[in-house]
Amino acid sequence: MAGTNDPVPTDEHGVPLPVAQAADGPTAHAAGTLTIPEPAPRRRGDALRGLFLGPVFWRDIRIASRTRATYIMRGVVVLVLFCVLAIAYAAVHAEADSRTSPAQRLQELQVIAPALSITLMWFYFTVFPIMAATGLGGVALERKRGTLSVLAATPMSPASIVLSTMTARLLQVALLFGATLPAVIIVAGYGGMETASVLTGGAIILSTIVLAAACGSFGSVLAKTPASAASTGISLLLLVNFYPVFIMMIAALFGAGGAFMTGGWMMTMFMASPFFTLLATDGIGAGGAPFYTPLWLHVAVSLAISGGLLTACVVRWRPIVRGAMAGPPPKVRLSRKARRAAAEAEAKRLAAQAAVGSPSLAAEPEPGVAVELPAATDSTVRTASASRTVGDQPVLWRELQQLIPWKSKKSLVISALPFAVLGIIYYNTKPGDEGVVTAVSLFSLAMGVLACCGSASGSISSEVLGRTLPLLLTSRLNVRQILLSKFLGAWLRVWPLAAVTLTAIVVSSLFGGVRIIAVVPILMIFAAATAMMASASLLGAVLFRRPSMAGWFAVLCGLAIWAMPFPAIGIVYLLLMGSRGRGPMEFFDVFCSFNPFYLMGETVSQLERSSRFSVRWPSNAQTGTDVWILILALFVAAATVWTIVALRLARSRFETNVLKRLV
Amino acid sequence: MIELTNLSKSFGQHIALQAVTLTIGEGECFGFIGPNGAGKSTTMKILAGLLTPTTGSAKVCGRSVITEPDAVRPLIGYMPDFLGVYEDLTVDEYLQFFASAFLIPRAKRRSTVDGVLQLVDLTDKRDAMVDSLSRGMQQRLGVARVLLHDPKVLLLDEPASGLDPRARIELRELILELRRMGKTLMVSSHILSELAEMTTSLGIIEKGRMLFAGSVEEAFRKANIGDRIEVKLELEPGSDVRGHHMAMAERLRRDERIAGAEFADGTLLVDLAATAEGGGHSHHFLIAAILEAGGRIAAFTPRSVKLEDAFLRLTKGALN
Repeated sequence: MAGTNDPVPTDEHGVPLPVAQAADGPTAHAAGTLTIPEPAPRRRGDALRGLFLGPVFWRDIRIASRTRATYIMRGVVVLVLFCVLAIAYAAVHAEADSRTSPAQRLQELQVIAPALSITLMWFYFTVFPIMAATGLGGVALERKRGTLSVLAATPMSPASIVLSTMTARLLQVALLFGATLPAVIIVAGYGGMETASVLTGGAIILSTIVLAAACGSFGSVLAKTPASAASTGISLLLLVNFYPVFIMMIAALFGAGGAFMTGGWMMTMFMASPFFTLLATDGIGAGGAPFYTPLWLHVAVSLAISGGLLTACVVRWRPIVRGAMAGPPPKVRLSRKARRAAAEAEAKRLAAQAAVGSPSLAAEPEPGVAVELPAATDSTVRTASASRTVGDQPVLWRELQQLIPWKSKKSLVISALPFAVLGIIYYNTKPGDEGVVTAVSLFSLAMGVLACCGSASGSISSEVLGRTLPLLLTSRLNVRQILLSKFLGAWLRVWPLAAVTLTAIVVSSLFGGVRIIAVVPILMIFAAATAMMASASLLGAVLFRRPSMAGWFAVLCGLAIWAMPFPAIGIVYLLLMGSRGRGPMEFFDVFCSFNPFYLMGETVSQLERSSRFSVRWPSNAQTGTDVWILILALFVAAATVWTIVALRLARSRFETNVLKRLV
Repeated sequence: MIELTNLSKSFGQHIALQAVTLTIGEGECFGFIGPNGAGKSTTMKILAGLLTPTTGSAKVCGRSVITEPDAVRPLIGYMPDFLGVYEDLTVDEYLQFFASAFLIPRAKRRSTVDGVLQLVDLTDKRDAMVDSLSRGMQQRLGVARVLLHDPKVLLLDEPASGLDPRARIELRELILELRRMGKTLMVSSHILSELAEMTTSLGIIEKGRMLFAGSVEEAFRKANIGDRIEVKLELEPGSDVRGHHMAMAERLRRDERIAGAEFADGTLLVDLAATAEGGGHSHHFLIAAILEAGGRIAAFTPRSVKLEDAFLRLTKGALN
């Protein structure tokens, strides 16, 4: 607004100009007048621009450009990409080195370029869609920030808000691709891949990224918090990629035969999945047999699913906004006692009303006399049937409350589900089957690692967002106690999954499958891997503001813990095995096997009752148990050391990183 | 009870607090006033041990919050401006949770929780989920939480913000009750009229600098604010109302007992200067001065002076 001393704009004859001509913005040059300038005439393409590049797009881009984490993430992705490429290069090169003839070596080196290209393609296919799916806070983030109502009150359409958020995220992914261009150039320098394969792979990856962004947007609509929005988005993405496998598994459980599995309908489903389509492309690139449907059909299906998900976001937008405006959810959870008391109170009120007469006939109150208002109804106040007793470690107590399955029907059903699935599996297979134990233990481990990652990475930010951290920090609890409780809470919360594995081992052991002793190494691996991920996530939660960044950090730490001891294992391995004439390829096998999933599967094989207690590893060679035990011990030791180091680091960085967020 | 000496806090280039020195005695209720971003919450966070000052010292009951934070925590109860709630806990569990965090023995927790619930009148909401409580109830729950470990000093940051009038009155009564219990209180608020009713002393802070700290009377004296009188002059029909009143205001301003005089909404607003003792001058001299100047008084209405006026006077241009 112009000040009182501002001169009134005039034309060359000294005649005051109309306000709209005098300035672009809202202007007032006479007391009490305010003129909003006419909106600029709409140009061609404005509608489309507003839809994809609306104000939300520019806001998100500006925020991302000011956030340090964006640049850290780009740097880390480039670093990881080069590590992955180096490993791929080393693998092929080591294989070539082991040949004696120069002609053979040359032939092997020619394989490097396609191998690197395929690695690059899979890297993009894995990382970029996950980033597109997790980075979208969308509706959940707006709700958490409290800006949902503000956005809803603007003339922006829900479609514009949803699509602009998605476009901003896609641009971030594109910038990330730009950062990894040197790697592409290096691979191209080695000869690259066939153009057709690159184009095919590129189309699949691009359509998958869009699909992932749509999954992320839809996840944000379904979830309440940004963290759960990210996990919902990832789950949807996994579902879209692996649904043919799930269908096959369910079909197998119910006794479907080979005709169903290899039928045309099943093959079509496989080709609608981005993962399996890229797998087929990868095979063609590497000279494999064609296993192919029209590419355009696959891309069209992916984009159609994306469109459907985005439409669902737009449709769900208004009810969500209305829900957010309405305050606490109307669902009232009353205990039986409370319901009885409420019914009695209502009966009394009606009786009293009947005795006095209709309220509409009541006399007008005397002027100046206070009217006694009826007691405020507490319809929005939810009550629990009974309050529980809090333990002496309050933070841990609260974390472990999430464990109790009978807290709600939903948690009870979710907890019973794995056991029910196990029952169905046993109904259709032999209870002593080693494969069941392997599948169940791997599934439990994967779920446990993911759950640890999710719960620990959101633990600190939820305290910050919920404004409860200052309250905790001003209590008698110190930072060490809080962090340790958070870690133990996140770690112990996944142990019910180990119970499922334990059940599978016990059943298998009873029916002559794996030895019961398998419980010990499997639980050791489970404990070590989940502890490592929980501590890494907690450290990430301390270092980064956003739970998604903390989760990513944990994943990278997980990769690092598998890669870091590479030289150490290599030295030990060479010392132990070098005299037995083992080559570099086996050295590489050792490195690759240094992860809990491989170890878990290998442990089950090792402790199968029908086999000798010996190792068919590496490279399926019959060797002793020494290497397996060594790797197992090294993994557990490394995970333990990492856990301690991560917790100490989290403690030391707490003041610098977390307390700063409270200001 | 609370001693701040040359307390400063910087966040990078931004200086949040500049050499703040303050002493609050035992049993005092200290009102902390200042615009948003003035440094009130930063001061409270330093006292609560959540922030480390850049320079200076802060002591509670003679213990340094910087070097002995573990010793200070049992002595203070800090209530931030927004109550942090755990969505999945009931009122009883929430209080038990913090009772446990304050290391209150399990055997004593039940009676302690009962006691504070009774004090804040939330006994019937014992099993209600914390997140479903109204804002007023949540604030009362916040007060209950800070009382769990019976601290000597309570730091209440904007306790009345966002509350409806009834909840505000209830909270004010609660704070007065705490004062009667002998607690030392530091309360920040934007609602100055309420602070005036609750506090025994106050501090005014702006842009990190303490402009004033002392009793309410001292604040009025320093701001040179006595009483405010609204005067309406009786004039001939058709005469220049504004001109007459302005001329009278100009004339009255020359009197040293008058801090200010201005014409607004058809009346003459006259601020009397505070006396050396902090009180106001009697009103007779003003009536005499107006009559002497030839004015005819149509209405003469003394208004009570508000803390807002002192605040505005003390902060106006203080840092320019």
